[in-house]
Amino acid sequence: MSLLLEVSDLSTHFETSRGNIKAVDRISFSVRKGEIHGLVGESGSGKSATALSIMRLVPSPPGRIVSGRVVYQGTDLLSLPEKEMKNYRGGEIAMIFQDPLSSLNPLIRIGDQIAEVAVAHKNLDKKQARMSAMKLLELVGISDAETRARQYPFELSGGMRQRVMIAIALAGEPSLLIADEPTTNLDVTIQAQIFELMGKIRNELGTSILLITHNLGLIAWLCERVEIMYSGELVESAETVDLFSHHFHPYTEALLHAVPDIQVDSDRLLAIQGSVPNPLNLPSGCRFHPRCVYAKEICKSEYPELQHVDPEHSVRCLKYKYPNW
Amino acid sequence: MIEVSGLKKYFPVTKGFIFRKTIGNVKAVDDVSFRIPKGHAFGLVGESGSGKTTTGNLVAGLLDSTSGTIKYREEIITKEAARRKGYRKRFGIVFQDPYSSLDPRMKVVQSIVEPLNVYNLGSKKERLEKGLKLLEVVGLPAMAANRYPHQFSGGQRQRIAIARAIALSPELIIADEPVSALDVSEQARIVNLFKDLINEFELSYLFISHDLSIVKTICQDVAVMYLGKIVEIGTVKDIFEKAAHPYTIGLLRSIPVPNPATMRSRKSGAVFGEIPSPLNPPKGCRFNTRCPYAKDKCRTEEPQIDMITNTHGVACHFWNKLS
Repeated sequence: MSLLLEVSDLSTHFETSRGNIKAVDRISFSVRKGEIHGLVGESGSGKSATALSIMRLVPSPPGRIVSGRVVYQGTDLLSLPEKEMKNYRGGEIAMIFQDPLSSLNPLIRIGDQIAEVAVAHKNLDKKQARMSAMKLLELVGISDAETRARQYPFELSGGMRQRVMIAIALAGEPSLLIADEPTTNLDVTIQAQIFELMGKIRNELGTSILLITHNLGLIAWLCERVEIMYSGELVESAETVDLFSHHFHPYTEALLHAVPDIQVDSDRLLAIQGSVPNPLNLPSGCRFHPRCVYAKEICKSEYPELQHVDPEHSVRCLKYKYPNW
Repeated sequence: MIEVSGLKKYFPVTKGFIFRKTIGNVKAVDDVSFRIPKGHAFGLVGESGSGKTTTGNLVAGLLDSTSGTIKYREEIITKEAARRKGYRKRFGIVFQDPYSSLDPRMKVVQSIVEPLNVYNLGSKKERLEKGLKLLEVVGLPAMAANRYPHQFSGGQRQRIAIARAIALSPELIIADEPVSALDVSEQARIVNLFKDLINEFELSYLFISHDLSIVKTICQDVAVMYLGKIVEIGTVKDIFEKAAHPYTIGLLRSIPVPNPATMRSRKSGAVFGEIPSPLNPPKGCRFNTRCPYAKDKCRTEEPQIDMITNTHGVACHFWNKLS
């Protein structure tokens, strides 16, 4: 499989009145052609900031991509002038967000919102764009496309709006789709439908997907490989099947045990003590050490680098640097 | 302890400004019955439009029902009675959004003891002591008392809300999606806290959630709601191991579990279609438009709840004939 996207040493900082926040701190990962790649994290992990950085949509000020490269099919997006980046954004690389209602224009009919992309990125004329919009509405599972195309976002349910967002994203024929918590606000049965749709998009169109979520069940379903983020950094990176059976980072382990699994009879969930560190006052040494059940004295002073435990599996934890922990 | 019988809540939909005309009703809760024994956690599960939040508001005495009864220890609750007889003392409520349910201008301890202030219980000193004790119960440090809500995370704020809910030593807590807005790691803490409180204070819960996995961890009994009706009711074991209603089965198959082998071997198409509008629910069985087993009878006749065992009930014409 060839590489579609290669993120190297990406850092994005936010300048606030109280100091500098390293929202994304030297992140590196890659997405292959036709792959669904997962990015997992909770609040403050930097996962959304990572997505915005790839799309160069970071609000500037106060945000700033301070270093790194985002190489898409051989071109470093961070080095492009904005005029050229606009061609990629919405075309080659498309994004769907958590709340479709605020991402859709309330005053424009949904058919036109889809067609607009085809006109801008594919140079189709109005008639061709409209036909393309119909086809896309069908592809994303909206029946009665003719009627729906003439409706406004407020007339649609949450699940339908998300499908429309996906149609808009697909209108530019992207090779990469970035989905940031696409189903968090949706009912669970509708969520299942949207995820089936995303699997279909990858299978039938070969589109790669960067899936950003805190839901490990969804990762287990669709992702081939996954990155775990904590406090702006990558703490573990692995093939999905491997991660669930052989996870190494204490945060990953804690996360997996904090999720209730209906297949398992559990009396209590494993709660992670403490809370997410204040980005303006990060712990010394390992950022996770105050909450880690395996932490030792050295974790407070030595900063763990990412190291490979397997060719496809890396982890940021001193437990694997020093034998006999 | 709580007995809900034939509960209905219809919200009229009106047209016109000066001369209002009722053109229809949103049948948010349509003939719902269940029981919560003392010391039991009862889960009410459903998606958008199911009526679960409205049911919670009715039991809490925040709304008056259109018909049907809610009995608390043999006494009938209505909004008026709740206010007059101080039933609200016996119920604690925890809401979904920890960011808007606490007054941002009140110190944490002030929010927690506010119920004591309202009912004039104890001296000022006693209230403060109780406030500190409650902070301890929910696992927050004493120094949290003089801080403000914005200084805490979502999960911590939810713990403050729970401390407030138990301030009057209630017998029942009504929790409406109390962990949905929280991160996974914070959810686990709150779920464990809920469990501990049942044992420590012999509390009962009406636990409303769309998240079946959380309900399974906390509750003993569950009712699944769809468009204002209970479609299946039973113990946790009944629902999770022997689900009989096509909606419940579909719902269970839609829940992602953190296990790649399970997720990838699941059949596709758990529940198709959209949730119909509560303004115009389907005739007959309300689930018929999305049910893979729907027959003619389903489109014309509404099913009543059949008891499969003495704990397990299902509202489906063909529950015992499904493949």
